[in-house]
Parts: sequence; C-alpha cells; structure tokens
Amino acid sequence: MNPFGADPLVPSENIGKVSSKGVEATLGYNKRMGKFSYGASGNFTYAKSNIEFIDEAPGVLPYQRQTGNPLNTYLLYRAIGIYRTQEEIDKTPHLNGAQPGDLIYEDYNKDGQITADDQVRSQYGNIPLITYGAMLNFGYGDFDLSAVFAGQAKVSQYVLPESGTVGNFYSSWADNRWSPTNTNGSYPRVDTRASSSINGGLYNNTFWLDNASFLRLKNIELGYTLPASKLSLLHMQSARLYVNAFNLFTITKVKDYDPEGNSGSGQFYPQQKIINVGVNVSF
Amino acid sequence: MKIRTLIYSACLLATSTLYMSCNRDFPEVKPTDKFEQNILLSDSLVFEAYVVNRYIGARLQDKEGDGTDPGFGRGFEYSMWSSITDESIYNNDDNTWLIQKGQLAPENVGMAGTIWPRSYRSIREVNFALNGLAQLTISEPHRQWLKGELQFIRAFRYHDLIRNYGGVVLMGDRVLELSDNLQNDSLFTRATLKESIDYTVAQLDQAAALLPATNGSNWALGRATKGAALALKARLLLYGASPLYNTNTWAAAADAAQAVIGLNQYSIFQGGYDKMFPATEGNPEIIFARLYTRNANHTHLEIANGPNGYGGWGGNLPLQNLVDDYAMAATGKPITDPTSGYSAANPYVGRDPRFYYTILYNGASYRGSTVETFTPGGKDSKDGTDNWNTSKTGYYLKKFMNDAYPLQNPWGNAGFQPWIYMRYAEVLLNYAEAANEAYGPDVVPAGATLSARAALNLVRARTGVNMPAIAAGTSQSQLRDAVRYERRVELAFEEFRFYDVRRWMIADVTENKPANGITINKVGNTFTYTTKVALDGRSFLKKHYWLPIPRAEILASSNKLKQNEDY
Repeated sequence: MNPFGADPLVPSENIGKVSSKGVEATLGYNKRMGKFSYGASGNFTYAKSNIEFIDEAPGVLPYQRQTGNPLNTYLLYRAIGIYRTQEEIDKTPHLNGAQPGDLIYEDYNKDGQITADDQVRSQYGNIPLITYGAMLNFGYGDFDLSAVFAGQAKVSQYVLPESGTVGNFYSSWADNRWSPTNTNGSYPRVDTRASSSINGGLYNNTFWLDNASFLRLKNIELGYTLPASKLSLLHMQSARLYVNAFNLFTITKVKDYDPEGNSGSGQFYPQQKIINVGVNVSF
Repeated sequence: MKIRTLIYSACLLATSTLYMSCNRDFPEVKPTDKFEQNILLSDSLVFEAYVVNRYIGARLQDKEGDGTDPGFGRGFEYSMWSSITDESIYNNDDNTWLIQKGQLAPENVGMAGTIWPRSYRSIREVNFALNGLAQLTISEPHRQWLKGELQFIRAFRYHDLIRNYGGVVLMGDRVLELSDNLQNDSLFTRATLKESIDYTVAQLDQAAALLPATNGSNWALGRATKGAALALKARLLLYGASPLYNTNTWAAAADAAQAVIGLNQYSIFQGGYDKMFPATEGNPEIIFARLYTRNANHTHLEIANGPNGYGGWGGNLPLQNLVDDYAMAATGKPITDPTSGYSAANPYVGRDPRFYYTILYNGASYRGSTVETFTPGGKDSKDGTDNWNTSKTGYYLKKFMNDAYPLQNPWGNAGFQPWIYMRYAEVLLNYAEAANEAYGPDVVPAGATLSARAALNLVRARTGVNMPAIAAGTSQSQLRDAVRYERRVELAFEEFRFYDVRRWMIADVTENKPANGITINKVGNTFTYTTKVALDGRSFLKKHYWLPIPRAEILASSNKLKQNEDY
C-alpha cells in the first residue's frame, strides 16, 4: 500500500496505453466586392480517446472499468430524483440515514441496496470529444467587424461546490434547495458540509455532473479607420477607433460556473467579460 | 586525412562506448537516500534501526501522521479514535462524521480506512526482517530479543486487524515480491476469528519468552518487553471471551491478565490521574507506549483541542453522553440515581474526580482563567473569538493536555506526550472483568492474588481519584456494570470504548443514541442547562460491529477476499 503524499513502494512506470482517433477540418472563405468584404473560417475537431490499458485492479466491475473508455470519465452514482416523503424512502433502496430532501440513487445492479457496485462510469469525461471554432470578419469602407466563436460539445464536468455551514453556496442551490418549507425544491437539502454529505462527497453522483458544452463569443471587435483625407487635416499618420469585447456571451446549460473551468470543487477563476473602447493613433 | 579519420573514429568509438555504458548503468542508479537490502542484512546497527522503525507505520491518508508517521491504532492525531465513539465528536469532521452517522461502507471507510492496509504492509516489513535475522552477525541473546520484538510488533498488527475486522488473512513468515503470483488464493483466505486469535496469542507467547523483562541501556524505553507481550495477550483473550467473539473462555482471559499482575513489575501511578499521562520515565503504570520528542512530535494537542477563547481549535469535543456517565464522587452512584447527590442545577459539582481531569466544562479552571461556554457572552462559546472553532458540544478535551506546553504558537514546543498503548490499570480491569465472568466478584482463583472486585478497587483507589470502593456483597452482574463504568471513565479517550461497546454487543444501544451536547444560558448569575444534539443523524447498524474491508482491497483480490457481512 503506497504512502500518502510520498514515493510509491514500486517506482512509477509509464505502462498506460491510450489511443486517440478523430477528424479535424478547417474551412475558410474570403470575398471582396467593391467596398464590401467578408470572410469566414471554421474549425472542427472530433477526437475520441480510448484507454487501452491502465493498471486497474482485477476485480473492478465491467461497467466501472476505465479501460475501454475515454480519458477522465467519472465513476458516479446515478441520481434519479429527490426524496419528497418518508414513504418514498421506505419503498426504494436507500442509504442509512436517508431523509426527505436527499437524492435518490439508482440501484443499478438491482440488489436491493445502494452500494459501491451501483456506481456507473459516465459517458463523457471533462475532455471534450468535439471542439470547434468560427472566425467571421466583415469590412465596409472604413468599418471593420470581426468575431471569434469557440465551443465544445460531448463533454461533462463534475462540480460540487464546497458548501455548508461555511457558506459558499451557488445561489441556484441555495434558492432551490429542498427544505421543510420548500418540499418541491429542485436541489437536495443542504448539509453541514457538501464534501461529507450523502448527497455530495460521500456518494459522488450524477446530480453534480453537468453537460459542459458551450458556445462562446470569445471576441468581437468593431473598428473604424479614419480615411487618409481626414488624417492629414489632423496631422496624423493613422487613427482607428474601436470597441471590442471578450466573452460577451456564452450559450450553455451550465448555470453556476464557467464551463471552461475544470475543478471538481468549482474552485477556479472564471473568464472575465471585458469590454474595451479605444483609439489607436500614431503621429 | 588519415589522421583526421582516425580521430573521427576514436571520437565515434568514445561516444558510442559512453552511450552504451550509460545505457547499461541507467537502471542501476543507486539511491543515496536508502540502504540496500544487503547492507540492511549485513550491518547489525542498520538492521536494528530498521526493526525499531517497525513500531511506526506508513502514512496512508490525509489528516493523519501529523508530526510523525502513525504508530499502531490512531493515537494523537487531530481527530482521535474517540471521535468515532460516544466519547466525542470531531469539530471539523475529518472523515469521522460518516462513521458517527452510520454511513461506514467499503467505499466510504473514512478515518477508519487505514488499519487494513497499514497493518499488512507492516506485517510484510516485519517478515522481511524475521527472515533475514538468521544471517545477521549479532550476539545470540540480542538476536533473540530482536526476534521477540519483531513477533510482538507483528502480533500487535494482527491484534489491530482482529479487533477491527474479525478473522484475518494470516501471512505466516511470507514476504511477497512483485514477481510472485499476487492472485494466489491463499493471500485472500481469511482465517476464522478463533484461528486468528490463537495464532496471535501463540506469537505473543513466543515473544514473551524471548523479550527482556525491562527496558535499560541495551533496550531503550519504548521497545517491547515481556510484560508488553503478556499484556497484549491478556487484552486479546479478553476480547476473545467477550460475547461478540466467543472464541475462548473467561478463565483463559483471567489467567492471561494474572500473568501480567504476577510479574509484580507494574503498579498504579499514585502521582495523580492527570499527571500520569505526561509522565514517561519512572512511571510504573506504563507497560507499552510510544514516545515522542522534539522534531519527532505528534499533534500539538493543546491548540488542536483547546477552547476558542484560548486560541484553541476545539478539536475532539467530549459528548454529553460521556459527561452524564461520570458518577458522583461521594456516593459512587450514577447521576440517574435519586440518592446519588446529583443536582441538575449544578451538574459539574461533586462528580468522579476523573471528570475534572478529562473534560473542560463551563466554569472549569484552565491555564489561568475560567472556561466559559455559556451564552450570551462566554469567551469559549459562539460569542467568543474565532467562533468557528467553538465547541459543538459545550465541552473541550482536557485529558492528555500538558499545561507546561504553550497553547498559542506551540510549533515545535509541544506534542511530546507519550501515547500509552497499554497501562497497568487496563490489565487490572481486564482481570476484573474476566475473573468476575469466570468466577464471580469475590473469588481469588488458584494461582492469583486478587479477586475481581479487589482488582477493580485498586483502580478506583488511585491517589487523587479515591472513588468509594465497590462493597462486598456486590453481585456478578452489578460488578459487570461496575467494570464497564470503570473502563468508560478510567480509559476514556484511550481507544478502548470503540472496541468495548462492540465486544459487549451494546453498540446498537450506545452508538444509536444522539450525539448530545449542552447549551448553557446565563441570566444574571444563574445558568440553565439544556441538552442539545451536537451532531445530527448518529446511527449504528448491525454490520458496523466490524469495519468494512476497504473496497480497493477487495477489488485487488479479484473479489476473492471475503467482505464482512452485510457490507
């Protein structure tokens, strides 16, 4: 048994084997018609990794193995709802101490109890199978407009915020939590600590696994370049007025955090939304 | 031209030779921070240092091995073993709450998850030394001591495994290498509980025959002695006679305890209950302990467990469940008895003296001021400073604390108390329990010098404790209760309660009670006391009489290792 936070008994070996297969495509188009010009290009990558060998214990259940699955998938209990009443708890397999407001876990192997054998490997990990982007630009006379979109799909991210008596709740959980006065809440009851709750860290489950697909406008810029006739009047060599924005909007199902983050406790700094207005002048 | 070619060729040759020699030596780099096996087995000093280090195990989890690597059991870590019993709860969880709440499962073993892997790792290391002992150049008497010592350490590991998991896999003297067949069925076949205890007891008999009687210049304090081996044997046989085990007789357990008493080597420390725990040298009560020193310390207990008003972190918090079990000093009666003299309005007056040495309560004098857990305004309550550290139960731990150590900013200047694995009071209580069950309260068995009742009263008569003696005419079942009381109080926080409530099979009662604390409201100069639940959802299921073997171990065995029932 290897010590915690120190060298393993047996030296690490590079014995894992992963194959990745996929396609990559880029398509671009530019056109100019008099004062009007435009262009567009897009890229698309589909890459699926497959773990061919990883040093797993021989007794790991087939549906829990990493081997044969993509990298970074999660082993999770399947959350299939929230207990609303004691009768519901009594008639389904449940954990010791389950109470109304707790997540219902699927008895995947149908043995009448919730055990580690009910954990199932997730379809996707937090490495996207699909990443894509698009760059658009338009020009009309002295005006130019460009935009960069980026996105990912077929990807999951597990985020259980470290919440509890220390606070630190996402508002969607705090506002929609099950409580004796909000028995229809869409989130489980809150606990002293999420990481040691049967709705959280003790039984990591699909409730906290989000579809981290997104499409994000990474950058957009609108500019106006002053024509030469006006420049000489102002004794300038060049001048350009612009307004640009980063991360102006994101289309995603993730509600509470940045879908580009990859920390399971949600502890990452989100990408900022930045809007600049500026002038570039040279004399 | 020719010369140039020659030089080129020489260079090429040199390069390729270098390359080849490099390549050949690459996997043979000698680590400079480790001894090779042949040095270990050829240098008796290195070998002995290796043996002594087997009292310590590998750190396997976060939140353990604070200061130095763990020994046997849990000892002085931030969260103590007491915090998975009805003695205390740990303020900051640290993987103890799931056990208190009955959610212990093979994949959620929490703080209790290290005993299986650490013990088996240690057993392998001991076996390696045992197998190499014969070829070591060393004086014959010392070789025998080392052999006994290694057998003792291995037996202590098995005892830890047995009392937590039941029947264990007995490894014999085998040392497995990576090249061996690690799926061999014999590696995963658990012996019965009886076979496991019999093997370990036989090992301890051998160790006792080999080990020196006392520590001295050739056998430093802290190393196992004959008395340690016999005391461990007595503990194991006491467990074996208990209802949960039922593998040997109470008479055998009494005999084994008598063997330690009969050494006439140990006695009850009479310098005060509280002074016993910091006292290492010349303490006649210690049979086997782990010693600590500067730069090889354990958790800084005073800050880790101290009240928030003192700058402490309120770690292991005694429960009301324990507080209520301290009897009244004058009458010796439980507080539930109307004639005990207990007053609910003054609950901390007149209790068993060990209460005051073990628990910090509202009004207790501590380090130059008074503990204030009352509200509103108490400095050690939620109204005090750093109130995230305040006690959930209204109590703080006092036992083991050394007032000579700094509480604030103690780094490097505290954490040296010995962790006592076995002391004479335990042996007397083991004897009292076993002799009472085998012979009744007042019989002095053949070859012994004490009756069960007399042994129990020796513990109660400690200077500074002086609890009323259990009177003659006490029935067997009354003495059973008295022994249970004495273990609860005398041995609190010393890693006995967890095993006692299991082996007596009362855990389904004691561990299903709410984890209670106290709310103390102050109005004028009057306190009112209201019991509260300090940790929600305390629960114990039948399967929790034994720990689950960690799931990773079961999977590594291709599911051949049999899990404990109902997990």
